[in-house]
Amino acid sequence: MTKKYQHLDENGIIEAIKNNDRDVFTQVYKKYYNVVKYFIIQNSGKPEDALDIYQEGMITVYENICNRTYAKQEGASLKTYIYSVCRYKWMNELRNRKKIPTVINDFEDKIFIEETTTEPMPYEQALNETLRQMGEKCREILKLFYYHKYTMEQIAIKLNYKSGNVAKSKKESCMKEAKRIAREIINRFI
Amino acid sequence: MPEKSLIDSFKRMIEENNITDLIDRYLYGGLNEKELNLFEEKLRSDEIFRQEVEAQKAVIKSIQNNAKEDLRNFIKGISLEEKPKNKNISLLVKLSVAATILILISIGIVLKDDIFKGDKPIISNIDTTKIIHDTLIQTIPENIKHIANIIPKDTTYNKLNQSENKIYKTIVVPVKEIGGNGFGFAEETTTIDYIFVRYIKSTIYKNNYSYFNDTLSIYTDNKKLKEIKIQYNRSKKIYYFIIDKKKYVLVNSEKIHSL
Repeated sequence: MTKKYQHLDENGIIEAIKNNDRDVFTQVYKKYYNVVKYFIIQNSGKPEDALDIYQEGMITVYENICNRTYAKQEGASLKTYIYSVCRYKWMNELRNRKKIPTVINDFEDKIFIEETTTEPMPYEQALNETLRQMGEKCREILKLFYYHKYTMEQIAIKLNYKSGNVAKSKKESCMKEAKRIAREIINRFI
Repeated sequence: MPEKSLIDSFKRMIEENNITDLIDRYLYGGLNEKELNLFEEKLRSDEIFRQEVEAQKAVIKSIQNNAKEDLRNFIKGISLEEKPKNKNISLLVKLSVAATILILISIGIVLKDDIFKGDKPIISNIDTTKIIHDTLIQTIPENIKHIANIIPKDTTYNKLNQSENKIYKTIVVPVKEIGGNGFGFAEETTTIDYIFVRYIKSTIYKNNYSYFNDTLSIYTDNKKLKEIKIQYNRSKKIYYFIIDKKKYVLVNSEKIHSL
């Protein structure tokens, strides 16, 4: 376990995850796996189900920390949130498999989980692959803004721009180029 | 019809090259009502503008898809298995251990005389678990100490080996925060933590428990497992568990207590 992680309180851990600190995320990921694994195994799951659910659950937890959904929780610890998200995902999975969840020690928690799942568009894979070929700076700035939810000021610090306004102007030009590519690809599929 | 000033400001926003921001604000719910009406009017009437919005939505989704895939790959690379402990202890470590043992034997010989002189030796057999146990006893109000088995006194060290134990089942039990003073069966509120509970069949212990390393072990010879609730009193900072309508304080220790 890293020294940095050991010295962080819960808020510090959340801030570190929000700042995309992969070391802290890794420690959190390792720490709570067993709780989720036991829950899934005791509720009709296999160890490989536990791992799949935990991986997807931790992605949702990460996204909900970044988009401030996690901040809506009152009093619930990170451990509780992780457990609740994975539990929710496992219950959904059991329903999809047409299995009736038989949960020991079942309980109802009011947790906020934000998940948007939309049908993939026919051009989506081609666009994903093409946008991966964009310049590294552009990919990074758009990723930090639209996925990690950084502010322009945070992006300026992280990517060494003089100010938030400079970062914003760079983001604008990157988005223009990305949209030009997107329009071309979308038109091919119409 | 939208006001002329709004139409002008909308045009100005586009002219000032803020179209990306404007669409972001639309997609993330950042437009006020008037701006939203104007935006939607523009969407209906201007096909090129509509395509611009669609393209930006597609780009954002694609960026998020790629970022999510990167995170997924990173997560898949994290090993969840504990590294096996190195059994090849170096010569230096072996020598250090031997030296420590020699020093301890020397101290023991010196202290032995003191013990027989009747003075309390510096090194004594301090039972730290008992200290915690006694401290907890002191935190319990006098009027509720009569509640049976809050902290059992007949504790035994856990010296069970594998052949004497068989785990029936391990479950994860939510810890509920409770109101009130904590010793009444107050109303439970939110889940604040989770604790492993192992039900163990033991040849020695039939109705006992221990709490160590975030795991509550219940020793039983009854195949019908009893339901357990775990609660936390924030003002007292104490965890309890309830089994058979009796309430016990969770004290982190390797000792096995009676139920």
